[in-house]
Amino acid sequence: MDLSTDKILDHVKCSVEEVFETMLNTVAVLVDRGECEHTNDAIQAEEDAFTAPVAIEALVSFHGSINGSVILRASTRGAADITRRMLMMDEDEIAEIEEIRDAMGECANMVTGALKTRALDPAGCFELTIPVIDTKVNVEYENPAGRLAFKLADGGVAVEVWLEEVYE
Amino acid sequence: MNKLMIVDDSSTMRKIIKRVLRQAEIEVDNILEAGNGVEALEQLLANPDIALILSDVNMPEMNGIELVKKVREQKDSDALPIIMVTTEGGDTMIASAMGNGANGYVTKPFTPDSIRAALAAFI
Repeated sequence: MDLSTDKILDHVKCSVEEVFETMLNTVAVLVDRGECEHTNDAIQAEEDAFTAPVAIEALVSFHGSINGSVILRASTRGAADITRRMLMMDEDEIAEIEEIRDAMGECANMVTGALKTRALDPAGCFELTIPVIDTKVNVEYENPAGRLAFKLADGGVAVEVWLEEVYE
Repeated sequence: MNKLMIVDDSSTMRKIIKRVLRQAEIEVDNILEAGNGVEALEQLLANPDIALILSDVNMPEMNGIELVKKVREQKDSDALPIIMVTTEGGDTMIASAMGNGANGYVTKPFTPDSIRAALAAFI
């Protein structure tokens, strides 16, 4: 099984599309794919979502023959929209911050779980961590493998993949 | 169905599953919730009439596989269906869950149809 960075990003893209279509009833359109700098400037595909000074990040790590993390990032407004969609709330209904944190964590969990099913499990035995949610999560790994930026119906979401450096 | 329990550490996911049960037109009088396996066992002790469990796998305190093992250790628990609802869709995880006594498996993300299909044999 090919676990190159490019292939992992391909699988993450498909996982995000599947999760957002099935669970949020919205289409996630890939608008940018590039090197991950983990800064606001690096994710400008959707101005409203990605230049926001305050964001919510959700991280799920995977451990197996390779180790890494998947991070979902959205502005607070974008994350609130994701929450409203997941919970099918009304337009004028305001999501509580705990609901937003939990929804972002569950999104990251489903995306990483789908990645595990699609790409990691066929390559060996992998385990996932419980989601970590914060305004800025700590990434354990040093190698920013790549990022994907998606435009949603209202706002956007960025997904970053970080991989542990393998020294031979 | 009289009483069903949803076990998931995500309150968002518990709400979604409740909504999907309604969308799938599965009528349940009382839906109990637990955030992990330990809470689920406590609920089960207090509510021995629970008719079906829908459980996540990856949870803090006690995961879904451990929960299945603990439930199956109990006397006369074979009649209680346990359906795993999880992001873990790999063959190994499914085999582990079913091998330890789970009765069905639904992978997240899911549709009302997939929930209905998994529960069809038990409702």
